[in-house]
Amino acid sequence: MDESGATQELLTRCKMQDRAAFAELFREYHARLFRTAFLMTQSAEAADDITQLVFVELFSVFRRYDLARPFLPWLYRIVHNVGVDYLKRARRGADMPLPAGEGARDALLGPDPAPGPAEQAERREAQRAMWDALGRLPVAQRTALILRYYEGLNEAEMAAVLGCRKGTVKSRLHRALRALGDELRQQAWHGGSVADDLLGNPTIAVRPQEGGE
Amino acid sequence: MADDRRIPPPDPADAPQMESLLTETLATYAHDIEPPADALARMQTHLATAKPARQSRPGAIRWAIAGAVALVLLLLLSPIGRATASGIGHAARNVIVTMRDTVTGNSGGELTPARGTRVTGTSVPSSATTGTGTATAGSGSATARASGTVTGTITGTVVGTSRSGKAPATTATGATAATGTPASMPAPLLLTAPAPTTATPANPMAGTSPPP
Repeated sequence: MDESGATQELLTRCKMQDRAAFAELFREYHARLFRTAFLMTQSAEAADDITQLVFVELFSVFRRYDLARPFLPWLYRIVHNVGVDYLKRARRGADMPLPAGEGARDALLGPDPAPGPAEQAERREAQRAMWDALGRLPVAQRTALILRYYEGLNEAEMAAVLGCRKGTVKSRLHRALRALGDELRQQAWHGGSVADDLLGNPTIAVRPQEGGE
Repeated sequence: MADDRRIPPPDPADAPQMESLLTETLATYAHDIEPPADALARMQTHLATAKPARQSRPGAIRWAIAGAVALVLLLLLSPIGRATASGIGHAARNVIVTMRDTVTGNSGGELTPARGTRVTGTSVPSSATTGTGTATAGSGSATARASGTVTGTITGTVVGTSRSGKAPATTATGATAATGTPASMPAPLLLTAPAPTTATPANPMAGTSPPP
């Protein structure tokens, strides 16, 4: 996460409240932050709101930014804080699942795939199951998974973003993965077939027919 | 017919497969979403309409804390501060003494010894009007009721107490002729003699008083 010389210069100008430099910074990071916010909220509208709030906040706090410290963890920390606040305000926070967002999901992935290669269809269905399961996790666990598996941050960087220790990050990731597995198994319980494949063909006991004992 | 699926406990061996699918899912969904094109223009509008950035609050807080500490030090260390603290101490002590006197029923004007005072010796009955005695070596106290008289020779340390007065403890060192009427005097003993180096052996104060 080391910044190049050009980025350092850009950050220096931003620190001096140079609006042209800030617009440049916006162009460079906006799409990335928007996507992260989208993964956090599973809503394009919320992601747009959060990204706007993040950049307005960023501009006002840039004076306090220490140029000797890496920029991205600091930026992601702002994204995380603003995102969590946003979700709390929207009463869709920590322990409440996000709306399923069926329409949005279909808009993104398209309607059920037309008959095609079976593997492709299965993969799409598996991703959809994973997306649903992710949406049902508490926001803290979901954020940890996104930072690790989408942003590719290591534990130390995640600790800087989340404002906790490395050990806490590790345990949070572990709990998040376990919760994700539980969610996928819940889907399997309720009749999903994808999770069965994903989780290694769980044992299926077929109840005997009624009266057939 | 209904299927009854028995779910096994999470298997650690599933983790790599699940992590792989998670990474793939996040990348797919993130790739498929496009940020709004007018985001930059809206952000600039927000910045233009936003209030100017506030001055650094941490700096203001630091100054406030430093000012408060300086004020406390000034109060504690300056003469004004000491006087104030002393006044507060006296006021607090008066309150405590008053409360204690109220609780113990000591409302007859008896002397409340100052802190650290040691009261010793033989007390004279409250009906006594005249007391005579000698207090030597060490400490003792002679007490006479109001308008009474204490007469005697004092050698050593004497602590005189007047029951109806507010006479403070008086200390005499050496051979001292004491004559006075402590009931009406703030200081019951008149000290005139220089202090000798030797003292008469102890002889507890003998007071005589008529029956009540």
